[in-house]
Amino acid sequence: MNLIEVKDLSFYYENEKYVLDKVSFVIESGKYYSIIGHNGSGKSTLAKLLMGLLVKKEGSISAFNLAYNRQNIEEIRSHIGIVFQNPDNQFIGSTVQDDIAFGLENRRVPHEEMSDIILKFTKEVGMSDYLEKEPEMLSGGQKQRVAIAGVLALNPDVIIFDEATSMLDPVGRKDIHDTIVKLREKNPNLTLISITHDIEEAFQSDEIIVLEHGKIFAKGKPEEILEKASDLKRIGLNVPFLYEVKEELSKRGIKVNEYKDIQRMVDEICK
Amino acid sequence: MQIKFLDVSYTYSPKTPYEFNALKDVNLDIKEGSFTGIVGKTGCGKSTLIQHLNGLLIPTSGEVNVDTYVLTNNKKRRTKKLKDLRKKVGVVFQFSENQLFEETILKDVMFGPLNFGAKAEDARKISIECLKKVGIPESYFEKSPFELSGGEKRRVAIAGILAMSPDVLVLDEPTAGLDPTGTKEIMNLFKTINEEGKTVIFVTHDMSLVLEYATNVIVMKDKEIVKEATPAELFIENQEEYNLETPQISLLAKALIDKGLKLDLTKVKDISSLVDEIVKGRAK
Repeated sequence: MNLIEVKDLSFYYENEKYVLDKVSFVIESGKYYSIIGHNGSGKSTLAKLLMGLLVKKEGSISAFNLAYNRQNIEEIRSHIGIVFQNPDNQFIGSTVQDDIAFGLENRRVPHEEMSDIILKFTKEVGMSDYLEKEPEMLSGGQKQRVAIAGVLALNPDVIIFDEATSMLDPVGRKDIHDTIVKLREKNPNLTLISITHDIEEAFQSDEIIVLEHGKIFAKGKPEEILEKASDLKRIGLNVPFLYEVKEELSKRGIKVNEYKDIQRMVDEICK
Repeated sequence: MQIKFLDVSYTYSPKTPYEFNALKDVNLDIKEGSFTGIVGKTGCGKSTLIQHLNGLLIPTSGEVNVDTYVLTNNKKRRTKKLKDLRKKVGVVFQFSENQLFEETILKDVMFGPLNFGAKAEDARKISIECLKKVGIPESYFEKSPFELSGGEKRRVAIAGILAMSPDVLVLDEPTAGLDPTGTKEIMNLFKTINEEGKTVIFVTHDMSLVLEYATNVIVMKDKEIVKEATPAELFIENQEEYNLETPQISLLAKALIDKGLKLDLTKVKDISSLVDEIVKGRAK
């Protein structure tokens, strides 16, 4: 089922240069998408359009069979959860549980139901031991996990991660990776869209959309994207580390097929 | 220029309610011509340490020797004029893109040499040279630094320090926020500068940069130095006790060794040197 449909979507800011130029794709229910591209490729603008924070100039965009317009936008937004880049800007409550309760209150969830909901979703992201903790006592990765719990508590159909790991250190980044993996196992119907700089993370997803100069440069499954590895490098994007090793080995006459799992690759090299 | 730390401790705002000890009994020897990486978790004292290198901070106790300069709390022993030291040790701070201020890029870079008494003509010449070195095209020279992207601003700030021709270049997280291409370009620039004989000291969270570029690495933890080693030594050892991330290259190399392949880990720095070792290992 197509959850979001984007057709010939274009956008420009004041200075009339196209930041997005006739972009088309569909987001299917229950899949995990990554949108990659370097600074200025248009991915942040695309993210804002998907969230309904910007209004398209040309083309069309719809979600849940509703066109993005003034009448529908509140309805659309109620199905979309967003995890932003800066962990400090989205922590509103004075403690972890207050922070999640804020979103629930906004949705008029009855008070007596709240603590169960909060417990359930903080458990899901591994933060249930921190309910009384204040944001100052949490690491960046932990704050982002609270943000994810807060979003999950509102029962969205889609979660958009807007560079949610880019301000975290390596430990925090791995923390969020692991949380996303768990999330997917538990909620097979949840759709994830991640706008990201992290190539290793992007190649864990089901589909990748590569943006360059406001146009779709490539889209497809990770294996399909990797067939264009040299094109990716030409536009300044990295390919996953193990794939790069595989390519370098092949140049030196050592053929290996595996590039997803380090141990399987080692087994193949040592055969 | 030889750099030595002897039992250096530093306390911010001593004898006030805000008193905060940031360095504890640090002993250190940074060799001339080395490419030294300083690593450790946020808050471990890395930035405090590097601010001692050009006398921005003076040890609360202990002594820092940089060449013939002596930095100490002991008023009799300490070097009086530190201006020359700041010319010799150039520090590029974290988020250096925020320290640009002049009307044009060229003027911004010229500020340093002029401040140290260079003639306008000489300052101009060396500034142009340094801007080219960091990859800023001539068409940008008369632009305002505020029109540049973050990565470009960073390069201009670095050119501003290079224009003072320091003997020691100190960089606090120079690649934070740069994309892969930008990171590679800027690290290769520091490598060239190092190969020209200058000492380069950089603070980073990216262990793969340490492995690829550094000749020496200093690990800090809780205000102290807990390890001095070559990158190869550090990443061969189990460095998890220092809470550092293992570079993917080292993880792969170690897994291959565990499987019985003979690799010389001291030679593994990047993908191409790893593949060289795999080819050799398989031939054995």
